[in-house]
Amino acid sequence: LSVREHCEVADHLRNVRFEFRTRDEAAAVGHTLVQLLPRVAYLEFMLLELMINAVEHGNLEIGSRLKAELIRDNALDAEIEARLARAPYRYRSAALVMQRTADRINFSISDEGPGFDWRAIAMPDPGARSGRGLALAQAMCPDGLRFNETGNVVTLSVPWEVECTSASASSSSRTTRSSPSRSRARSPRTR
Amino acid sequence: MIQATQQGDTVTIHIAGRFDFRCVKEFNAVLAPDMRSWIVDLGEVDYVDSAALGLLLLLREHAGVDTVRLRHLRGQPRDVLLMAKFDRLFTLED
Repeated sequence: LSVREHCEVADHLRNVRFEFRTRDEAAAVGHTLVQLLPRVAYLEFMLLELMINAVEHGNLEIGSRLKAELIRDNALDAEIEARLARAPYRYRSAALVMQRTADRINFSISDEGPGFDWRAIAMPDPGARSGRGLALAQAMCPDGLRFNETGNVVTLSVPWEVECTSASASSSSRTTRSSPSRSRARSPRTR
Repeated sequence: MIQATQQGDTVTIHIAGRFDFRCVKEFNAVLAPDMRSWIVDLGEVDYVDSAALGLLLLLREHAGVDTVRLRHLRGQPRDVLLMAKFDRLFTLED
């Protein structure tokens, strides 16, 4: 899509809900959604870490220590497949809800697991085997992550900023900004 | 896509595209024993996730400290690895 098309599509996004059970589904949903949105630094990383966390740690209850052991033994994929087919995990799904306000996009990722102690999130030592994904996502999110008390719903909120200033937009003398008019310098951004 | 080439006792692992949780088996498959030196070329990687960082740590454990060099880091992979302070664990090369 051109920047102009991105702007026009993104402007129609208001309230979207995706449900997913597997890491592959989470990655497909997150990757596709990010392609439709204005560029926000590290948005895909943040969303996918939170969504895959909802599958692995939330619904499938694979704790950090067990996950590290499974990765070491090259057995994580098999354990995930086994749990996806086994009660109670097989009946659980996770959801990503995106809601747009006038000037922000709010993403809510929920799972049906027992939750966890989100207050303990901290950037681990560089060589630590686990705990890195959520800590990185939190470090990347300018306004931080917000969890419900239980820890099975997390909300990520980023500014909504769309500026159609590409060559295609300027060539037609149209410049659209879909958020309330508010001019400010933007730092280079990556997905 | 992950490919490994060997020259002497050095193995170079070339990775292209997304380096993420789907790469675990493919990455583990190229870990040969008894190699003295490892280079991971990330020049064609456009996205890494935390699982990929875990794989690099596994390689470091497998190969031994100070034997793994990460080459051609750029963009999102570079940002993420630096945020995770991997420059303290690996030699980064242009």
